[in-house]
Amino acid sequence: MSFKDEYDKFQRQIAPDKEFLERLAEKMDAEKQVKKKRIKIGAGIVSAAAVCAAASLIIVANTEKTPEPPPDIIGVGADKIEYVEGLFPYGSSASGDIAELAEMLADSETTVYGSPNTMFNFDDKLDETEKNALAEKLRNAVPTDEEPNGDAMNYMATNDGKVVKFSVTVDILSISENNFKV
Amino acid sequence: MGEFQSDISAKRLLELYSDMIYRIAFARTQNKADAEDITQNVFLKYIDSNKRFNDEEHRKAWLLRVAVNCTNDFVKSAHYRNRAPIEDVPDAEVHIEENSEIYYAVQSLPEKYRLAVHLFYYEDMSVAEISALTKIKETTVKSQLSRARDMLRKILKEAQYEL
Repeated sequence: MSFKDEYDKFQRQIAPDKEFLERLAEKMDAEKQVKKKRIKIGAGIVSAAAVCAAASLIIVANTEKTPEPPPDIIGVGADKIEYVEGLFPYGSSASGDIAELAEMLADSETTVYGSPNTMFNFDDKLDETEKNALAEKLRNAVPTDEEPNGDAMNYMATNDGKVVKFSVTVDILSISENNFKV
Repeated sequence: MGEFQSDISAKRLLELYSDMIYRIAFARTQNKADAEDITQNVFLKYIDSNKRFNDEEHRKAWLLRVAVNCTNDFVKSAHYRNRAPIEDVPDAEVHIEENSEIYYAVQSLPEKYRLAVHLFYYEDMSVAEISALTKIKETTVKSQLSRARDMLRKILKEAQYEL
């Protein structure tokens, strides 16, 4: 039995309501009309203001929201952290893995490879001492050319409200140029 | 098939793409009302952008990108993070008649994995395409799919699906 086939069947049941689509179509048409009027009015104003040297027109056409500025970052060098994502919850099926990973990271004997990509959330899996030890490890993370093995796992770490962003590579599929060693 | 028209009616646009957008939003939020909000946002952005497209693939790619971004913005919003658990909001439940095993299995995945699973298995996108669309590194996408498959295998073990 193919998961893909079953998933396709399941997805075909997921669809917006007809009433919702009808309302949305009306809204879209109305918005189109308003836009047309705005352009007409705007064109008139621009013509009138053309001689005004102080006038400026800024058009923002960016559908991508600017990420929020990250909270204080600890750990890996700041130039390697591009964007900090928010906390995200894990399902119970992953909690065992998180606990295991937390222990592994806190263990001073463990060498962990990662890339500054995503983050850990340990919740209550580490006590304060372990969290501080981990934070200290992360602060001392160094770039490396060494090659870990296996699949990358991505988590998010918090330590007293401060967020560190990286992915832990226990096994990897490929190396990124920003790998570091903890 | 007919000549490509960049400017099409709202009704036609929704016929072509509302299911796709809604399913992406629902894959992440697992909530009908939220998926509707996101779907509406996407299509209103479309109207607002007044963008010209070279062909239908171009339009679809743009809509996919906006859908992913709108969904990301939505799940990161304070409103979404602070709201009550879905169990307390019975009206938000979507009635799934068939393949409910798959529904509950996917629903139990972490929200980020659900999007990768949806784009890979339903939209037939490659890892590279998912990476380009979501701006997540390919290694991360691969690991999300790998982890999702592991979790799905455990959850669906009796059904023995090929993943």
